[in-house]
Amino acid sequence: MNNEFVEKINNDINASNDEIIYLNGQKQLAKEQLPEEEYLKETSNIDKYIESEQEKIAANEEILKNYELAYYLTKNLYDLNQLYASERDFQTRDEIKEEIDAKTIELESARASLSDEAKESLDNFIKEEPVPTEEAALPEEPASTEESAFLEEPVSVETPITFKSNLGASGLEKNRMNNLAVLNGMIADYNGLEEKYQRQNEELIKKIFSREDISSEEKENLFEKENLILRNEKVYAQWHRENEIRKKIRSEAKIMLNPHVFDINDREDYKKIYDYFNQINLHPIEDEYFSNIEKQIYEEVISENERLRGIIHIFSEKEAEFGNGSENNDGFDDESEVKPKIDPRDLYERIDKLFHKATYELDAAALLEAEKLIAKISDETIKKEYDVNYHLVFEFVVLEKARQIWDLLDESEKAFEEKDTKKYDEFLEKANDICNQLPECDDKYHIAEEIKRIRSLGNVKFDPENVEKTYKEIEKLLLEATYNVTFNPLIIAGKLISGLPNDEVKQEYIGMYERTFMYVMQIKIDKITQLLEEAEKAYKTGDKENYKKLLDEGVAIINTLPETDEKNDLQAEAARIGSLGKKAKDIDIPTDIQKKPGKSLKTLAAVLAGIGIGVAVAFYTNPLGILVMNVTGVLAKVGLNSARRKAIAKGFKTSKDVLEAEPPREGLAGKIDKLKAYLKSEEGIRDMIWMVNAAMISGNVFSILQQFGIMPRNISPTSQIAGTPAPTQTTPTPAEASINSTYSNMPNQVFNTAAQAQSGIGAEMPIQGAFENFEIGRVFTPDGRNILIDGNLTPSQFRSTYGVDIADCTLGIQNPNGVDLSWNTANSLRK
Amino acid sequence: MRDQVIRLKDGEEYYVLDEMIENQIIYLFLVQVNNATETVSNSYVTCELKFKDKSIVVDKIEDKDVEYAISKKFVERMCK
Repeated sequence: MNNEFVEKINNDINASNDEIIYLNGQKQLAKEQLPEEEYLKETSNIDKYIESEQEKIAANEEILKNYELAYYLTKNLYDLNQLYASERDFQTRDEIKEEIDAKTIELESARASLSDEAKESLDNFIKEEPVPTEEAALPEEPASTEESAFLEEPVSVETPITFKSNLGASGLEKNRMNNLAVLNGMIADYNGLEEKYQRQNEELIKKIFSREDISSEEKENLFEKENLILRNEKVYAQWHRENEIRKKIRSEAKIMLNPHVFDINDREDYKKIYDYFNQINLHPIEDEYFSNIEKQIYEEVISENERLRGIIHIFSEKEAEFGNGSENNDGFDDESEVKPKIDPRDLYERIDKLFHKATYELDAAALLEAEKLIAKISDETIKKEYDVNYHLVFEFVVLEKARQIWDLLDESEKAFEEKDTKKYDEFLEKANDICNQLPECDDKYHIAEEIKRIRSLGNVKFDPENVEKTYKEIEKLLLEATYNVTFNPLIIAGKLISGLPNDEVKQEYIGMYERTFMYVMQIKIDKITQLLEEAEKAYKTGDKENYKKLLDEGVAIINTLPETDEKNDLQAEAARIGSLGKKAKDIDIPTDIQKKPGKSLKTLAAVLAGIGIGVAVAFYTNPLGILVMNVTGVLAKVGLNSARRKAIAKGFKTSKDVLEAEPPREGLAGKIDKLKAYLKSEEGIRDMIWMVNAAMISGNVFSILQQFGIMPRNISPTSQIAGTPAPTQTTPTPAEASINSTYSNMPNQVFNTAAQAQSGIGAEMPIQGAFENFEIGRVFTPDGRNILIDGNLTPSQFRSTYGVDIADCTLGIQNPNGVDLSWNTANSLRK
Repeated sequence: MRDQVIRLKDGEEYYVLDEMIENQIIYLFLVQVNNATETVSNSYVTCELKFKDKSIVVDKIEDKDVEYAISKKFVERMCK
C-alpha cells in the first residue's frame, strides 16, 4: 500500500537511516583524528544520537505496522460483513460472527496506537480506494444477490407459466450478462498468462544464451532449470486463476439457483431458477473450456440440493414434453408452436425391444440405450416398473457374460500352465473383449482385475537366458506385495521362484518369499484385529452404524487371507462379534472377554520352523490370543523403538488433484509454528528420523533384513516364541530388586528424551547403579539377543552399542555370584 | 505453495511444510491438517507436485530410494 502518509513515514525512516550512516562516519573520523580520550567522549555523544535515531525508526516502523494492520483489518471486516449476509462454504454464520468480533477488537487495538493524523489519513485512504474489479464490472448495479437477481424486474405472479427460456431484457438476462462480463474479464486475465510466459521465456533465452562466461552445456542446464521454475510459476498462476474463476461461478450458481429464498408456494419463483439455469446455455461463456466448466459446476450445484434437483427436473421434463420455447413461442396458448408430444406407447415399445435384444443377444449396448429411454418416461409408476425390469435384464446380461469370461480365463490360465502361449493369449484376449462390452459395474471391475493378473503371468515368463531379469522381477513382485499389503503378487512370484534353476539362490528367494508372506499376513491380521476390537467397542457404546461398518471392513480383509488357521480364528471371532448385533435384546457383554485357548499357530510356526528363517523375529500375543510377528525387533536393530513412534509417514497411493491452496487460519498457523519449533528440538528430530526410517522398514521389510545382515542364526524358533527365559531361581521381590531411588532422584540429571525423563531412566549414570542388592547381568533385547552386558555402560552407551533402549529390554537380575534370578522389564523394577 | 494449506479432491487437507526442486521435480513435505477446525495431525507425506494439463496434482514418489532420500533431506531441513 502506498499513500501520502505512508510515504511520509517512510521518508522519516530513510532520513533516520541516513543520519545513522552519517553519525557512524563521524565516529570513524573521530577515531582517526582525535586523541583517545576525546574520541571516547565524542563517541559516547554520537552513540546517544544514534540511539535516538534508532528509537525514531522503531517508533515509525511501529506506526507503519499498525497503520497497515488497521487497513487490512478494515478491508477484511468489510468482506466478512458482506459474507455474513450470505453464506460461506466452510464457515457457519456464527463462526463468521466470531471472526468479525475478534477482528474488530484487533482493529480497535491497532487504531488506538495511531495518531489522529494517521487515523484520518487511513479513513480517507479507504474511502478513496476504487471498488474491487469484480464489482466494478457490474455497471450501475450492486453486486448480484438473491434479491437483486429477481427483484430488479419482478415477473408478475399472475403471468402464466411459459416454457420460453429466453426472457429478452429481463432481470435474469441482465444479471447473466453482468456475471458474464465479470467472468470474461477473469478468463481474459487467465488467457493472458500464456502470453506472459512466452514473453518471459523469450527474455530468459536472450538473457542466458547471450552470456559468455559459461559454456553451452551450462547454458542449457541453467535454461532448463530457470525455465522449469518459470513454467511452474505459470501453471501455478493458471491453476490459481482457474480456481478463482471456478469459485466465482460456483458462488454465482449458489446465489442464482437458491431455492430457499423463494416462496415455496410460488411456482413462478421456481421457474426463475430454471430460467436462470437456461441462461448459461443461452449466453454461454465464449471460452469453450470455461463454458464447459461452468456447465459442470451448475450441474454439481443442482445435484447437491435435492429440492433444486426436483425443480430443474420438473421444468426440464415439461420443456422436453412440450418443446423448447423459441423467441416467438409464448407458451401453452399458442398450440401451433408447441412441438407434438411423444407418444409414450412408442417409448415403451422401443424399450421392450431393447430389453429383448439385450437378453437374447447379450447386448450390453442395448441395455445402455434402454436405460436412457427409461429416464424419459414421465409416468412415475410405469417408470418404476421399467426400472425393475432393467435391473433384472442387467443382472442377467452381466452374469451371463461374466460366466463366459471366467470360463475363458480358466482356459487361459490352464494354457499358461501348459506353456501354450498361443491359446493363453487367445483366451485372454477373448475374455478382455467381452469384459470391455460390460456396462460399468463392480463385476466388471473384478473381472478386469483378474484379467490383469493373468496377463501379468505372461509378462513375467521365466527366461532361462536372462536369469538376472527374473530375479529382478521376483524382487519387484515381492516389493509390490509388501508395499500394497496384498498376496496377489506373491502368487506370481511363487511361480517364478519355483522355476529358478539354482537351488541355493532358490532357497534364498523362498526365504524372501516367506518373510514377505509373513509381513503381509501380520499387517492384515493387525488391521483385522483392530477393526474387530473397534467394532465390539462400537457395539458396546451403542454406535450400531459404526459397529456394522467396522465389522464389514474387518470381514472384507479376512476374506483376502489365504486359508490358514489364523483365518479360521479370525472368522470365528468376527462371527462372534457379528452375532452380538443379531441378538433380539442387547445383553451384557463381560468386560473381560475370555481369551481363546492357546493357538496352535500352525501356519506361522510351521512357516518359520519349516524354512528355518531363524531371523530375529519377536512374537507377541494379540488380544485375540493370536501370536503374531512383531516387527519392532527389527526396528530395534537399527536403534529405533516404538515408544518414539509419534510421527507417521503416510503415502499417497494414487495421484490426487489439488483443488485449492489457501493460507492457514490463524489458529492453525500458530499450531504449525509450534510444530516447526518442535521439529527443531531433539525429541522432534528423533521423531522425524524414526518416521522416515520406519516408513522404509515397514514398506521394505525384506530388503531391510538384508541390509542389516540379519541372517539365519542359531536360535531355535521355539525359544524365540517363548520370548523370555524362565526364572531359574528364587524370584526376588520388587522390594529386593528395584531401581535405586537415588538413581531416579539424582539431582541435575540430564535426560536424552522426554520419555526417559518420565521413566526416570536415561540419565548418564552406569546402568549398574540403578539396582540395589542385585546386579544386572544379562539383557534380552526385543529382537531376541541375549547379551551379557558390562554394568558400567550408561543407557546411551548401551543404546549406541546395541541399537536398542535399555527401557525396552528384559533385564536379567543376578545375584553377586552371577546366577540369574529373574527376568524383569525396566518398568516393573521401578519403585 | 510453501506455508499454504492445500485441499485435495478427496477432501483431505495438508499444510505444505517445505518444498524443493531436485532433478527438475518438485517435491513437497506435507502434514495433514484441518484448516476449519485448526487441527494438525501426526501424519506426514513426502510427495511429488505435478502439473497435468490444467490441474495440479500431488503424487507418490515411485522410486522408494528417491522417496527415502528426499524425506531425509526434508527432515534435515526441518530440523535445522
